[in-house]
Amino acid sequence: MKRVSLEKPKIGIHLYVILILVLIIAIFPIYWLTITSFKPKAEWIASPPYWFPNSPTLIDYYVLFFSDPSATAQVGAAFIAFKPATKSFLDSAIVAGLGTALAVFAGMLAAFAVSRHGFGGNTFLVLVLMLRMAPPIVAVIPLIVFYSFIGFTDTYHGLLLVYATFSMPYAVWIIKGLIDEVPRELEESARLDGLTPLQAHFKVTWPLIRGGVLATALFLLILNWSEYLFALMLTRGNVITLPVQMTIYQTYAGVLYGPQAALAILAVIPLVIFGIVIRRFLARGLTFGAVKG
Amino acid sequence: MEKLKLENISKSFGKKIVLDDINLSVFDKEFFCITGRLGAGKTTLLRIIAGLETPSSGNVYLDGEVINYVDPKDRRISMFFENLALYPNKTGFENIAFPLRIKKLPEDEIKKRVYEISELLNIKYLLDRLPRTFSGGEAQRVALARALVRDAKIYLLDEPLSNIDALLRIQARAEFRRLQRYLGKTFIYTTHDPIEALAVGDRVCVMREGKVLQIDKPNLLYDKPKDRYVAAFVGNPPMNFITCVLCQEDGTLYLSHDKFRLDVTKFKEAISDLIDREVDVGIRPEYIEVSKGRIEKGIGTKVLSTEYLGDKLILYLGLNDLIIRAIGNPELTYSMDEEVWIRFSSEKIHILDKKTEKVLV
Amino acid sequence: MTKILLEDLTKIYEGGTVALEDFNLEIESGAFISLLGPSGCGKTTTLKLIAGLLDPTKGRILFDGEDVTYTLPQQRGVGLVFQDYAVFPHMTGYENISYGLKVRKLSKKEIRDRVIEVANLLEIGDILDKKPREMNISELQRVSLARTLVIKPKVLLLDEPLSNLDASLRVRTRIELKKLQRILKQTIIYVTHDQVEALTLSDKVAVMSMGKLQQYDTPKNIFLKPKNKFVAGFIGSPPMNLIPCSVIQKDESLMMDANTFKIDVTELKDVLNDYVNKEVTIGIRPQDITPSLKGGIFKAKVYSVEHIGMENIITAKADDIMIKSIAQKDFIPNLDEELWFKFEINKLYIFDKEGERIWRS
Repeated sequence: MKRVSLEKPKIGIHLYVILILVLIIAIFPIYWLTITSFKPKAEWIASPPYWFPNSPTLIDYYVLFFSDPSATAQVGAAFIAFKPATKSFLDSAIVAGLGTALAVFAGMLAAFAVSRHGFGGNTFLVLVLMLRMAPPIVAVIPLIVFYSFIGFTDTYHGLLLVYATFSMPYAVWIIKGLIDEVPRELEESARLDGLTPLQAHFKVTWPLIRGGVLATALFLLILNWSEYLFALMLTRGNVITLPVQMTIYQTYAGVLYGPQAALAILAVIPLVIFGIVIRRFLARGLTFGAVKG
Repeated sequence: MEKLKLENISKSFGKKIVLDDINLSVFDKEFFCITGRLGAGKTTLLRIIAGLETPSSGNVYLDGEVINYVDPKDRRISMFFENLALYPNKTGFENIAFPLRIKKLPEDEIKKRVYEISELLNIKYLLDRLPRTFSGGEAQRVALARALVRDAKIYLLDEPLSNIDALLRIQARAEFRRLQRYLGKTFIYTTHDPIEALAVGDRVCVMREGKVLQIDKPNLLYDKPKDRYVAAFVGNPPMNFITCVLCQEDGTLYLSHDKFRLDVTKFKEAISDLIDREVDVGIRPEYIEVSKGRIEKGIGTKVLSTEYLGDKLILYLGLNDLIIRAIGNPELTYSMDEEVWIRFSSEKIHILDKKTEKVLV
Repeated sequence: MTKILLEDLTKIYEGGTVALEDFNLEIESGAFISLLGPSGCGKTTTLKLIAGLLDPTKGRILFDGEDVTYTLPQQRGVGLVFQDYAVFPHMTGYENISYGLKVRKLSKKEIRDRVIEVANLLEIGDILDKKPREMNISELQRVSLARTLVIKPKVLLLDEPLSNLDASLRVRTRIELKKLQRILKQTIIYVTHDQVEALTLSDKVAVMSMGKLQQYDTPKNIFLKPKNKFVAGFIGSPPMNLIPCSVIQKDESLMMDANTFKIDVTELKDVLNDYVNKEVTIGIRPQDITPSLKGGIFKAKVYSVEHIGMENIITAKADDIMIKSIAQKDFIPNLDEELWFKFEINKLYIFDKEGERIWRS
């Protein structure tokens, strides 16, 4: 009797249907954002909605970068001079990018200290996490006061430090988990072979956790890239991050959905690129753990 | 020549005492084997020698110098880890070459040494592959090659055979012993299998719950165990212990049991303190003569169970409430509850003080 | 009490690895059988097929004549005990054991009765309130076994349950398992790579290699009448020596030529007539080879000596052939010393080029 097991494809079809539904739900906002960014003002919030731009235009993108009164008039904000969005990309890159890098690097050192050297025990870990338990808003007011004392308000390093501080707990916890997965004997063996503990961390364990660390970095970068509260409260025009820039398009003349959508689309691109760049490390990261005694 | 000396080494983790006042010496070019059950402290001992743990008290001497505070990297000690600790992202070659690269040896020297050791351990075909493609035995040999490729003063091998099939393990024992002789290096080797320890070691150290019980040559450890634990632990099937009373009558000393009497007058000096007290008689299964027919001075027992091993047959015999292990003839069939007679001579017995568990004879 | 029949069972994994090929096995109801083989021989695949965790590519599985090839695992009435004890760390022993019954929605009283019955059987009544982290390895293992037994499976499958235990504990557990089977009278299939476990525990042993059944027989026959070279070289501790030879005819006499030595086998003329000028392999058990200082069949250099207590294993090398022999414990040759080895013709096994046995006395 020859029979091919039938159950598997059946489950497969159900699964595919569900997956496709989920995918549609997940992708729809991005789709809507994309088409909105190519719509002229009349189509932004037309009713019934346009499922595809009727007369596609690049004007929404144009107004982001050029203070051209005729263009701003076309999007319905004739008398307003918007600050070009170019600076906000740069500012976000500096503040969120460096803040994340700092958080990941310092977090990794802390994770090594906890995982490999027994630093602080569980208490330390819980304390680190407690930093994230209070809602950020609690910290904002004291920070404003504190920052104005030390002159950190509306500076790159000021905001960057806040981002680093608030994302570090995640970094410590996730990276500690990654390090715990790597048998400590790998480092011990290398130490007997002549490496210092620090060398062993970076020469032996780092290549094995690199994928996970980069994934953590991506996760934190997404958080910091879209952070709004601190950016709003701690800056006043010298530093403008993307989420703050976004609010500029809510004018007395109405909300400019088109330019907002355009900015949102452009803001996603750097994250996507970063994701693609680290993808090959992610795939590698998944294969370790294959060797066990 | 004394290579390594441990002096009053103790180690505790929190309240748990893992090593308790260990004293031992390992000689140059010796194959020193440590055996004991899980949790006896074997691995901790190796880790202290390697410098991966600091002893709570006591001193470690290497070549006559205290090395307690020498960093592991400067100790010139190589170690094989039970979980192998192969770098999963490196090929076989790079794994083996790793310690040499750290030492910044020239490239052609590295190649030469990696090839040499790979030739010796028959792993040349693994050099270009990644560890995840290795079988248990292959990974074990690559890890061994990495430990041996270095020029170290002492090689620590933590359960090197625990990852491989039983059959390969038996074959690898002989290879290990040969390898150590060929390399002429000092090996300290741990295993939970006492037979493996006897097979490979020049001297064997039996540990129990953080204490060293006995260090001796394999044949002495087997024939002259110092206490009950060693006697029972070393040897397979393990030694039988029969409780008897030591009696004296007209100048002769004998062991009395309700099934037999054994004259032990010749051991008088060692055991005279125990007269009229209960003692344990230890007898190895292979020294028990088993007969299907009644024999002179034979003790009648009942067959409870048998274990067929091909070349041997282990008999479990009931003597009152006690189970006696003996070696039967594999060509015969012993049926359950069959009566067989056993006999052993006083030449081959051990007498143990029931209280101190020390072997007196 | 279930009779199991495996018919032409074949399993090819995605990617084309043939794990099992045309595997036929009849397991009597209430029998204790072992699947024995090196890692990668297909024994675990077989177990998973019987348990229903895998679907075969081809073939049938019958339980008491009923086709269960594609029956869901939970409806087959099989119990599987894994190598790593799958116990829930957050539950007590009692909760762990009763879990399967709770899932099956039995009444509280019945759950209690059955847990206590199994706990008594496995002698773990006193650890039912303990959490796994407070148990030792042997207790963990019993809890894991109890979890399976409490469901009263028709067939009990054991996947190397002893491999995580240390040597002495393994011996003890082995004896207990055997006792248990006598009480339960369930059909038990036991997977192991350790021949000692297979030989001592089972009524019948299925020796496997590369996805194929090599021999299915009683332990005694597996040892005494190995069907082929693989079985001969796998069974025995150490296993049989296998030496490639060619059969040559000289006048009226027949000789076996192994390069390093020749033996006269004229007396086996009837068997070997068809093999003149052909390659064969002779097999001889280490127990049947006697090393001595002078006089014997061939000379070889001592490669390694292992003292294993009641005897010594001597490995010797003659050209490329390694030969193991068993010597008395007081026979201790030096390394690289030349020894003579002898054996009797009637202890020989002869295998043809394909590895099938063609002769034994």
